[in-house]
Amino acid sequence: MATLPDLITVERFRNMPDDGCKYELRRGEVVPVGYPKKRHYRRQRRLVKLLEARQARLPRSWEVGMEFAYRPLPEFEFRCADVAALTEARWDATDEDDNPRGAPELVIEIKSPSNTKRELAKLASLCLANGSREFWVVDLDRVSVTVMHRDGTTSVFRAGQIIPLSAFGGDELPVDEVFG
Amino acid sequence: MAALPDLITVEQFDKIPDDGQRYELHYGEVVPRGCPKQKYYNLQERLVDLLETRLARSWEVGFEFPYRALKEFEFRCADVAVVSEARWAATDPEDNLHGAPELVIEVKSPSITKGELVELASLCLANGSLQFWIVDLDRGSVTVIHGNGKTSVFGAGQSIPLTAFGGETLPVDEIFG
Repeated sequence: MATLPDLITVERFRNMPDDGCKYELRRGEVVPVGYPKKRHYRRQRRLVKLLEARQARLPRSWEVGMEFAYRPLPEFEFRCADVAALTEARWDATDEDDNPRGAPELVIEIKSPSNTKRELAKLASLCLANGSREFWVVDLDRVSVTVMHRDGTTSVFRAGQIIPLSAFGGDELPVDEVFG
Repeated sequence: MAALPDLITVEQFDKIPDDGQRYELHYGEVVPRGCPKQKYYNLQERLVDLLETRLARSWEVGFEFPYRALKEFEFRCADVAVVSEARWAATDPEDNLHGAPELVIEVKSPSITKGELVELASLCLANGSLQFWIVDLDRGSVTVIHGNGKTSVFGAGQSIPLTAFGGETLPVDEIFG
C-alpha cells in the first residue's frame, strides 16, 4: 500500500485556489463535481419553487435552496445538495462565515450519471444520521422520486402519486408537479 | 437505476440471525467481515498489551472493539481501540460506544483497500477519534492520521508519540518485534 495522503480539512478545502471548477469534500478527499445540465438545473429550480410555494401551509418556516452547501460531519465533509430545505431557526443560527452544520432536514439529489446507487445510499445514510428527516432521489429517466426515511425505509413515488410532506409539518407534493 | 434498497438500522442489524459469519454495518449496508488470520490476531493482541502497559488506567484498551461512529446506519469493529474510561463507563451495557474511540487502529489486510481505510479514518476522526492508525505488517510501518488530517508514517527504529493519550512513546520495533 502506497503512503496514505493527508485528509483534507474543511479549512484547507475552503482555501483552495478557485480554478473555475466545482468540488466537494468527501471523506477528506477533494472530489470534482460537474455543473448540472439544463434538464437537471430546471428540475432543481422547479423543486425549489414547489417547496417554497408550500411554505405558507407549513407550521414552520423553511429556507429552501439549490446548490445548497452544508457540512454533514464536523470535519472532512463539505457537500452541496441539489436542493435542500433547512428550518429557518437552523439557518438563522448558522454563522455567516460558515455553512450549516449537520445535514439539512430535507436533502434532494437528482440522479445523474456521476451519482452511483451506492454513492447515493452512502450519502443518504450520512445525511439521515446527521439531521435529515428525509433524503429524496429524483430520477428524471424513470420519472420517480425515491424517499428515504430516517428509519432507513424507502418509498418510491411515481406519476399520479403524491409525496406526503408530513415530516415537515404537513401538506403534500404531487409527483406530476415535480416533473410537469 | 434500480430502486435504492432500504438502509439497515442498527436495531435491524442487531436482530440479524447469527449465521456464524461476522458482519459490520457500513452506511446502512450489511458488509461481511472475515475473521483475522493468526498473524493479524497476534499483532492485535500485541498492540493491546503494549498500549495497556503504556497508557494510564484512565483508558480502556481493547481489540475487536465494536462502536457506532454515527448515531445510525453505522456499526463497526476496530481491530484495536482505545477509549477514555469516562466514555467507556458512560456507555450503556446494552448498547455500544457512540461515536468513534479516541484511538482506532486497523491492521492492513488484503480485504481492505486504501480508499476504504481513508474513508474510515475520516469518519472516525470526524466523530471522536484523536488519531487513526494503520499498521502495515508487510512494510513494518505504522501510519498515524491525526485529527487535523495530517499523516505521519513511522518505521523501524522510530517511536510513535502517545502524548495525545497521556502516554510517552511506543517504539515501532516493539510492535513488529
